[in-house]
Formats: sequence, C-alpha cells, structure tokens
Amino acid sequence: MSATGQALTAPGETWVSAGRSVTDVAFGHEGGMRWWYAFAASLALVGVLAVCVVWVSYQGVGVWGNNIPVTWAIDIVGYDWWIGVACGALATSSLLLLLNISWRGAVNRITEAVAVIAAASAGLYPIIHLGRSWFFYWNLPYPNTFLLWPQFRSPLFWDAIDIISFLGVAVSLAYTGMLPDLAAMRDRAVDAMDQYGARQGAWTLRLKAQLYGIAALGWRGSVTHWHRWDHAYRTIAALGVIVVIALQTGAAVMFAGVPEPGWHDVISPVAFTSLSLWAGAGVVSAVLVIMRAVFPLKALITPRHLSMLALLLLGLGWANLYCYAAEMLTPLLSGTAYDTAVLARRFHGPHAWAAWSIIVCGLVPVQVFWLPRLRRSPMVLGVAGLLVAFAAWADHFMVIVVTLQHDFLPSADALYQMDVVGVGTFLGTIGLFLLLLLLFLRYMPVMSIAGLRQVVPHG
Amino acid sequence: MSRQWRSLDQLADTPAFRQFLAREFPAVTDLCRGPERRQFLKLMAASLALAGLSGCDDPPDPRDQEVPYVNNPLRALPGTTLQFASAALLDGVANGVLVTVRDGRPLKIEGNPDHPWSRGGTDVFGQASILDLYDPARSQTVRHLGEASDWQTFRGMTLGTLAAIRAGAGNLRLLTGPVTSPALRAQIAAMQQVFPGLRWHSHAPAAAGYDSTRRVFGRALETRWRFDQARILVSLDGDVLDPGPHQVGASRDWAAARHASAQAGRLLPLYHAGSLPNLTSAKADDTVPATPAEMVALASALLDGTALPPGPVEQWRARVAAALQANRGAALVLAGSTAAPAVQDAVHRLNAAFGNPVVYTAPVAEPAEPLDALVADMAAGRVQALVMLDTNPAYDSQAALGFNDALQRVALKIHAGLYVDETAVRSDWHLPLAHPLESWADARSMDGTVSLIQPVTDPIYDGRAPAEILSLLMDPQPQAGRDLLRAHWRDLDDNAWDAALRSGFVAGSAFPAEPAVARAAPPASAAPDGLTLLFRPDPAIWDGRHSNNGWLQELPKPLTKMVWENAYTVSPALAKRAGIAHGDVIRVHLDGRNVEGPAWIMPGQADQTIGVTLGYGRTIPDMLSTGAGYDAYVLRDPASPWQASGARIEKTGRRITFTTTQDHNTMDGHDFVRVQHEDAAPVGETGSWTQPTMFTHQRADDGRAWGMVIDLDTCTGCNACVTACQAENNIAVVGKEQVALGREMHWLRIDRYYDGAEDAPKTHFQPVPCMHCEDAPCEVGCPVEATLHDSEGLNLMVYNRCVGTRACSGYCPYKVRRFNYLDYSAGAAPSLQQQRNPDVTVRARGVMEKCTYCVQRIAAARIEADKGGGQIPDGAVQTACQSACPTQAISFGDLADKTSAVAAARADSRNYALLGELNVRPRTTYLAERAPRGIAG
Repeated sequence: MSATGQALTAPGETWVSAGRSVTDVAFGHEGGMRWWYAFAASLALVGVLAVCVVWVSYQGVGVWGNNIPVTWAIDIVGYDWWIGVACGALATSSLLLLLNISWRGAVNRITEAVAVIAAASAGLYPIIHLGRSWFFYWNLPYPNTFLLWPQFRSPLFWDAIDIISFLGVAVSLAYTGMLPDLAAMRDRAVDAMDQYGARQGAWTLRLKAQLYGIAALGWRGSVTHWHRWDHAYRTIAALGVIVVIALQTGAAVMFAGVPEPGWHDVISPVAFTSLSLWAGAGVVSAVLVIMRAVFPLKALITPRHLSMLALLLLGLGWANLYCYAAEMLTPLLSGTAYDTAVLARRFHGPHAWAAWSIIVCGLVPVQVFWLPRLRRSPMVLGVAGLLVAFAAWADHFMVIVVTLQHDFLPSADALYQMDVVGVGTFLGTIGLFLLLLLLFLRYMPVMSIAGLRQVVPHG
Repeated sequence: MSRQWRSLDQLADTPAFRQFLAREFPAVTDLCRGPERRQFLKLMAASLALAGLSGCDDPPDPRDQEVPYVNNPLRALPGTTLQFASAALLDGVANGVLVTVRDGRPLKIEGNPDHPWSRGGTDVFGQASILDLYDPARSQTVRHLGEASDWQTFRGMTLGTLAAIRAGAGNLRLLTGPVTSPALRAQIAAMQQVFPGLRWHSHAPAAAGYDSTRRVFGRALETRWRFDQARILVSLDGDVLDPGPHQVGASRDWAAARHASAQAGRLLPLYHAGSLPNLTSAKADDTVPATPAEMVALASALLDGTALPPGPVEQWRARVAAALQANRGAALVLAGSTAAPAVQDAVHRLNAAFGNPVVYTAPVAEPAEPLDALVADMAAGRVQALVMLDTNPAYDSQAALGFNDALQRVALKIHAGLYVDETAVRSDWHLPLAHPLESWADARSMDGTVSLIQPVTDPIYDGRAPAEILSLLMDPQPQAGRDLLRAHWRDLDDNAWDAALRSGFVAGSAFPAEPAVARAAPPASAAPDGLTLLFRPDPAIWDGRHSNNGWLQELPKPLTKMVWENAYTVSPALAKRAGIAHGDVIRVHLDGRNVEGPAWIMPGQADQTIGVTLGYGRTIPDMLSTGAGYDAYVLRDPASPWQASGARIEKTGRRITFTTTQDHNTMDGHDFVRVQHEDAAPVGETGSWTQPTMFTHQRADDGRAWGMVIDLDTCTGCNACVTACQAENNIAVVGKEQVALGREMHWLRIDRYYDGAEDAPKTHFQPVPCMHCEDAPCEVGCPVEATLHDSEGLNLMVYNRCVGTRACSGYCPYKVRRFNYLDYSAGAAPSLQQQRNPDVTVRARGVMEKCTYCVQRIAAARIEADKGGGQIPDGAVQTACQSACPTQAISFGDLADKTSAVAAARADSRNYALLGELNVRPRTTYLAERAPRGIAG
C-alpha cells in the first residue's frame, strides 16, 4: 500500500503471483491469435518499408517529395519524432529509477523497450535520407588514409554520435534492468520442465531455459548480484538522462544554430526536450494501455499507474505550452519580420494543419486529465497518448517544413507536398516499431518482476 | 596426354583468339606467338578462359591505321583552350561571339569584346546555340519521302526537274528565313540568273519588318538609337531591352548611357507605355499600361500635342509631353516591331518632328518577297518547285494563310533545315542543314557590321550550309562553303581576310547613317476596340526554332518564371471581370478558330488584352518540345501579325498548375531590391558585413578575396547569365516534372519582384548566385566538411566528399544550393555530354551543388599568373555570368585589391548586401536600382 491510499497492485497480489503473471505472458502466449494478426499486419508494414528503402536507395531521395528549399521533409520529421519518442521513453524510465519512484515497476520495462525500439526506427533515417547513403560512415570519426575527419562544428555530426551513444545507453539500460527477470524466466522454464517431465513440448522448454539462461548471464540472485545490479542500473540511468538531454539539445541546435526564421530560437533546446518527453510519455501510455488490455496484467497495471501517466501527460502538456508561448512571444516582442512571418505561416500557411494539430491533438486533449475519473480510464489514456504522439509529429513537421518552405527570400520558396513513398517509408518505420514491440511482448518479461516485487506483499 | 595438349594448343592458336589477344593485351602477344611449351603452360589458364570470348570479335578497328602526330598541328594542343570568332544568329541577324574550343570540341559561346555591335555581350539564344550543335534530335541525313537517302541521290533525282525548270518548263521559288548575309544574297542573285523567273520569298514569324519605315519614309530603313545623346527615353510599346536581334547591342548602349547620365548627375529616365509587360517596361522609371486602342490614341496625341480623356494614360501623356518639350532634340521615342503600325508610324514622325537622335541606316535584312504572295501562287498551281531553306512555314506561318494546303499543289518540295520539322515531313526532300558552328557563312549585325562565321568543328552529322545547298542546286560542280564565301569576299586580300576571320567581323562594314525624310502623315484611323490578342515571340524559345533546346525550355521566362510551356496572359482587371482564375484553361476564339491554353494573370498588363507567345504546341513526335504548351500560330492573322481584335474567351472549367520556378510576387515588405532615388540619401550600407561577431575564428587567407557586385540598375533580367552559367558549369536539365516539384538546378536565378498596385506595378530583377558568405551558415551544417572556405575566401563544394545530408541548403538564407535528387546528369544523351566543360565536375546523384564563382576560371587564371610569377591581374577572371551580360551589370574580382573594378563597385554608395543584417558577410553584393528625380514610379 502506498501513502496515497491507492493500491499499486490489486488486492491479493503476492510475490509469486506477480512473477507468474508476468512470465505467463511469455510462456502462455496469452495474446493468441490477436498477436498473430498484429504480427502479420506489422510484417506487411515492414514489407512496405523494405520496398521504400530499396527504391530510395536505388533511385535517390528524389523519390520522396523533398525539393529545394524543403530539403528536409517527412524524412527528418520522422527521424526527429522517433528519436524524440525514444528519448522521452528513456528519460521517463531513467528518472523514475533515479528518483526511486515506487510505481515504476509496472512501467519502466515497457518504457525501456520503447526507447530501444523507437531508436531503431529512428536510426534508419539518418542513413537512408542521405543523397549517397552508402557513404554514411563518413559522418563518423574513423581513421582513414585521407586523414579526413568529420566536421566537428556540425550539429549533424553531434547527432550521429548522440544516436550511437543513445543506442548504447538505451540497450544497456534495458538489458541491465531485465537481467533478474531473465533469470526468473529461466527458472520458470526449468520449473516447467520439472513439472512436465519428458512430455511433449519439453524440448522447447529446454531451449527457452537455455536461451533465457544465457541471456541472464548467470544471475543467481545473490546479495552481491543485487548490490552491483542496483549500482549499474542506476549509473546507466544517470547516463540515460545525460544522453537524452545531449541528444535533444543537439537536435535542437541543428535548427537553432542557424539564422533561419522559426529555428533561430534560444528556447529550442528546452522545447525539443520537453516535446520528446511528452511524445515518449504518450507512446508509452498507449502501449501500456494496449498491453493491459491484451494480456492479463490488470492486477499489476492498476488505475493508479494510469493516473500517474495521465498526470505526466498533463504536466508535460503544460510544459510544452510554456515553450510554445515563449516561441511565439519572442518574434512578437522582437518584431523581426521574418520570424513573425514564419509564425503567421505556421498558423495560416499551406501547412497550417500542423500547428493546429498540436493544439487540437496535443495541448487540448490532455486537459481532460484534470478530472480524476478520466485519468483512470484506460481508453481515454490510450487515445490521449496517441494524440499527443501525433501532435509531436505535427510539431516537427511545422518546425522543419514551414520554415524551409519560405524563409527569407520569397522568391526562393516552393511548395512541399507529402508523397506516397515518403509516407510509405514512415508507415514502414511504424511497422518496424510494432514488429519489434510484438516480439518483445511475446518473448520478454514485459514488466519488471523485480520492481513489482518491491511493492507487493511477501507471500 | 600429349594429344590433349595439342588440341588445347590448336584452340589457343585460333586466328580469332590471336586477334583478340593482340587487341586486348598487346604486351602478351609476343609471349603467345612462340608456342613454346613453357610459355604455353603459363598462358593455358588464360587461354581457356578467353577462348570463349573469340565470338565477341569485331571487324578490324580503323584506328589501327592512325598515325600519331610528329609535330602537333597548330590547333591541336591537347587540353588547351582555343577561341574562334564567329557569330550567333537570331532571325538571320548576327551577334559577334567567340567560340571556346577544347580538343576539337566547341564547348561554350562567349561574347566577342571587339565586335562593334555586341561588344562582349550575348543573349540567351547565342549562349544556348552550342547545345543545338550537339542535339541528337537534329536532322542527320537526307530524306526522300521520309526514307533515309543521301546527297548524291538527291542531286541525281532532282537534276532533271531543275534542268527542265532552267529551260523554262516551270516555276521555281526559293523561300528562306531572313537573309542578312551579303554572300548568300549575291548567291541568290546569281541563282536568279541561272533560273530565269526564280522568285525569292522570305518568311520569319517573329522578325521585325520594315513596313513602318516604308510608310513613313518611303523605303525600308533600319532604326537605331543614339542613347548617348538622349536626355529622356520614351517607349511606346517599345521592346528595346527585350529579346531580339537588337537586344545585345541596344541593351549595352542603354546601360552605358544610363550609367554615364547617372555619373553626370542627370539620370536618363525611361518612360514606357504599353499593353503587355516586357523587359523594357520592367526597367522603365515611369510606366503605364494602355490598351492597344489607347496606345494608338496616345501616340497620335503625343504627335499632335492634344490631350486624351482623363485617366492614368492621360496623366502619363502629360508628363511625357512636358518632358519631350523640355528635351527637344535630346529625347528618344522608341517603338517595338510588335507595336501597332499606327504607333510605329507616329513614333518615327515624333522623332523626326523633335529632331531626336535617331539614326536610320540601310535595312540589315535583304528585301525579299513575302510569304503570302508565295502561298497565293502555290494555291493557284503556279509553283512547280519550291526550295525552303532554314524555314518552317508548315508550323510557323499563320494558319489562316493556308500554307499546308497550298504546299500540296507544289510538285517538287525541297526543305533544308536543322530538324525534321513540320515542313520537312510535308516535303519530298529534306536536307540536313549544318549548324552555323559547322558552316562557313557571313551575316550582318543590327548596325550592318558583317560578321564572318567559320566552322569550329567538322559537321557532326551529314549537314551542309545554306550556301552549299544553293550551290548544289545551281552550280554544275557544287562548291564548298569556304570557297563560296572566299569568292564573295575576294575584295579582301589574304591579310584582310585572315584578320576578318580572326576578329570575327569585317572592319568598317557597319552601315552609314542615311537621310530619311518623313512623308506627310495620312489621316489617322481609329484603332478597333474590344478584346485584343497580342502575339509576342517567346522570350526563351523565340518563334519555336529553339524549342528543342533543353536549356531554353527550362529557362524561367523573365516575367512569369514559367518553364516548358506558354500561357495566355490576361490583365488582372480582365480576369476579374471574366471570372478567370490563375491557371484556368480558357479557349480563345478568333475568326472561327480557337485554341485552348491556361490563363496567367499578369500584373501590369493592360485591360482588354490577352498576351500569347509563339513557338509552342509542336506536333513532331519524340522531341523535347513535343506536347509543351499550345500553338498560337493557329490564331495569328496574316494581315496583322502582332495583334488581332475581336477575340472571345470561353472558360473550359479545367484548371492546371503552372510549372514555375518562382511564385511569389512581392518582397513581403522587405527591401531585397533597393532603389536609390536621385538626391536621396545613399541607400547602400557598406558596413553591414563588419558587425561584431562572436566567432572570430582564424581562417586561411592568402590576401585575395574574390567578390562580386551586381548592378541592379543595369540588370535587365534578360537571362543571358543564367544560360551562360548552365553552359559553363554542366548544369543538368531536369525536365518539367522535376521543376514542378521544385528541383530546378540553375546555380544562378533571377528573382523577380513586383512592387505596388497589381494593375501597374514596378518590376524588379535581382540575379542571385551563391553569396560566398564569409561566415557561411552552410559550412557549419555539413558534417563531412564537403562545403568549406578556401584560402581565397571562396565557399567551395567538394562534390566527392558530399554525402547529401542537404543541411547546407536548409541552412542557406539565400537558398542558392541545388541538390541532385535523382541522377539528372546521367540522363543526358551521349552527344550532349560532349558539350560538357572538362574543367567542371559532372555531379552525380545525391550530391549538393551551387555557384562556385566559376572556380575553374579562377584556377586557369592562377596557373597563367603563376607562369609569370605574378598576381592574377584584375579582369583576368571573368565569370561566365559576368562575361555573358550584355549590359556589364556584373563585376567580379579581388576585393582585397583596392584598384580592382569590383572594389570600386563595392565602394559605390549604392552598394548593399542582400540580407546583410544576418551578419553572414556575403561576398556578393548589389548596387541599388536608380530612380530619377521627379518621377513617382
């Protein structure tokens, strides 16, 4: 029982039942056919991604709708959004851990998974969006006979380093956090082998025991193990917070560091970071709600957890609103004509839908969470999470496309229109995300058993 | 075992294999020749592998017969650039040019600075003519009834008919384009001796005629203007700065006079009244749109000193009339060849009455009979044989004339042209014409100067020059082009002949001024009112003869910035009244004919007018031009070629999106183009790029600082620089679809802005190349340092380092960078690839590119200077845009050299940096437009 009086688990949950509930997901294949339908749909989207990537690589990025001046369009929008979701998820997980928040056990596993998987979707773009993607490694500092180095002043170079660091930290955090649970999975498989003996299906249990066992790196649950694990987990979480801030501020400087109107803004790093937290929280909320609906985990993901996430979305919504207000007030107060013109085009130009989407899909919907009843509604939380995620996408679109389309010289503008291959590529990355997420949900401990056991009574 | 060896030996020794080996591996043939066992063993593995290739053998390569030079011939220094003087022709009229030739390949057209008329300037047609030379769609062989034939067969099969005509059995006619060539004129005269009764007609749909001088002065005269003696310029539907054979020289004269007048503190103002906006109206200081009827009334009112009904035109008339009176004898009134006949006549009379500095000379184009007389005779069956030389009347004659029907009544139809065009497919014989760069010829410029044209390459295809074709028809033994030309200019001794070839023109051949006395004016007739169609040559493809030129098709038209198509331009007022929106497809009816085309709402166009440009709607399949635009010749009236009243508009309900490179019309309230009014405080701000910066990083500096200054006052928006840049820098043509997506590749664009009311705005042009910012935002963005500064302050692109992040373009405040979204350059035909400048990298897909300040020319000048151990002298580096500019609006050089021309231009009080407030310190700056005192415009 927590101090607020609301239960973090359903009454009657014990150490054993909590562990069993989580491992049942992997061992019992609770999703059943629904999992397979979702898997097939995701696989189809990954097929779309494969076709688009092959086509882009073969023909050139001209198969997308990008032009001059809109050299970055939904390719970089997609990248910034995915890496924003990943950063948001990683930061949420890391902060919950570092602040020792008691309810994190239910959510931090899935936030860590979302961080890794979204980063994988994001990681495609910096490579395939290049005009000559086969030279992507020139962005990295590696010894070469030409003695050529990347250009260290470029935020794009920082970004390349940031992504690689991010992947390292996110994978480390997720994997480290999972170690005790992988051992639990191993033990569960061994238990099942004992239970079933030599009956049919035993060989798959053996295989599972071996694979989970290897993945668990010999975890035996000794006090020393727990002690070191706790240190490592928290240290990596601290690194996670740092890498998220570095990545998001770096990505922001990619825009803020140039004189372009609408980009050149000191609030940009803060705005990027808070937007990424918001988007990450939105996607995590949606995934958690779906997970809760599909798998028998309602006893472990309680209305209290939903309520916490809803409050997070609401609070971050206000943080973002503050950033938007600052972004709008700066040009209005400074009176710089180019900046005010970009501001006007954001709300009144050919892509005004993007700015209005931020308000209609992001800033407004989260206000429903002022009502405690709606905070506890999984349906409302899931929909709001997805809407916030879309609003974050629209924000990146607004920032990138509206400025590029018409910056200083009106003679240089050209209309950008979204195109089939570009949209297909983005949908394909969603497919990749879903596919990896489904595989994770199917085979991995979807919640932190160790974390849950800290909040359920011993039994 | 030994039998196996022998059989392999035999296999390895087949003649085909030996031949293959000799060709592919000359070094190993000796090894193979002596079939000793040890050597054979060594080669066995290779021979087995290669034996299968013996089937790929070709006939002997004729290059085997080549003998290398012992002493290189004079003009074959490998890698050395040579320049040959020649001329570029537009409607038969010459502009003196220099042709850059490298290793036998003509690569680039430059202006000829010594030529008395062009004085180093060029126009878009001259610049682009080099591409036509390599056009794979050019006619490559003689054709008889559509089947490939040859010159021998042509001569053999027409010999009898021609002999019969010579004997008086039939009537031969010759139809040509405008002929300014003295040699060709003499040859035609000789031909008229050989073929008694031969009548010569000439047809050029867009060429200026001499009807007005015939009416006013009683004979054909060329009109030229002494801008240097003028105090004011008044243009009545004038086109002095617009494309045409006169453009290069006249623009230069105007710019020089404008500059000199500004230095003298009394700016030469240009007043313009006209129906359709053009480059002349765009450069006018005081402009008013007037309907064709108002133009006629205005011209006669100015002549008579009477007033018009109140309105903007009357206000303009009052201002101009006062200015004319105040500057009697020092005012120039100009009318274009497309102006209404009554306006042209009135202008001649005005200039005569005021004693204005107008000079009349003999006509540049040799007089010939018109086309309509020929068509009448053809229709009546009075023409048995017709030779059509470098003309395409089946397409570009007025449909109402009925040329195509009449042509069917001609027994022998011979057509010679650069393309298998509409006339060629209707003729019995088509003869491929040689490109002027492959021919010996001569031609006159607008001042009468005779330019000699010498071939700079052997004919790429099987074409012959017009003079050679006439010789084939009339001479017992056909003569070569050089002999024909030399024979005509036999008065020149060998030294003078060589000098004329070297300089490109015959010195002192300009026409002298001739006295011209105006006849009494006939009573003026009122111009018809109502909706009027106004025809104009297209600013990019002229009358259609350049329609297969990718550079010209993709050249944004100066005012509309449209590419690959034409449109009906309608005035904003008419569009509002008729309910026409921009892009609506309308059908224009005239005398029972109608043509559909999209409507373009044109700021500054007079009410009650529809503007159409010629040259589009070609029907020959598989050409670049196929399917582009609509054919305005269908609507053209033979009696009044440039305007037709009584048109009717019908809406079709369809709408298209124009393919343009620029849409926006205004400067959004900024001062991208600044205007320096006389007597006003200087608008320049030379200090803008010395604002404090946080980034005082050291950079390599060898003491040179390349920079460019563009004078917006003398920039006429003519596009010559854009085409020159494309020719110099291997810039790809991407096609209409890619331009529609916003992916045109021009390194240099000319921004066009409107200022003021939609009905009568002021138009500004601003060429925008890369600014070569000293603190370049693009360089910060590139993660692989593919764009960076060199020691001379150039902002470079390293193509082979570029990975294509496109960050640099997003970071560029001027958006001057261009990206190879697809593999644009790979799509060019092999023959077109021969035009490419070997000093400039051809960019692959996925690579960013942009203006380099013609770094290859800087490098060439540096090498030349290093030979002498000195500095690059000022003026040694001319960028392509700079050297092409007919008004010399662009200066380029070393800003660090305080004595350089560019440093002097930069010290001008009109000098300012575009977006200088961003503190990126651009190396390219602008000189503000000038505006005369006392004029509101």
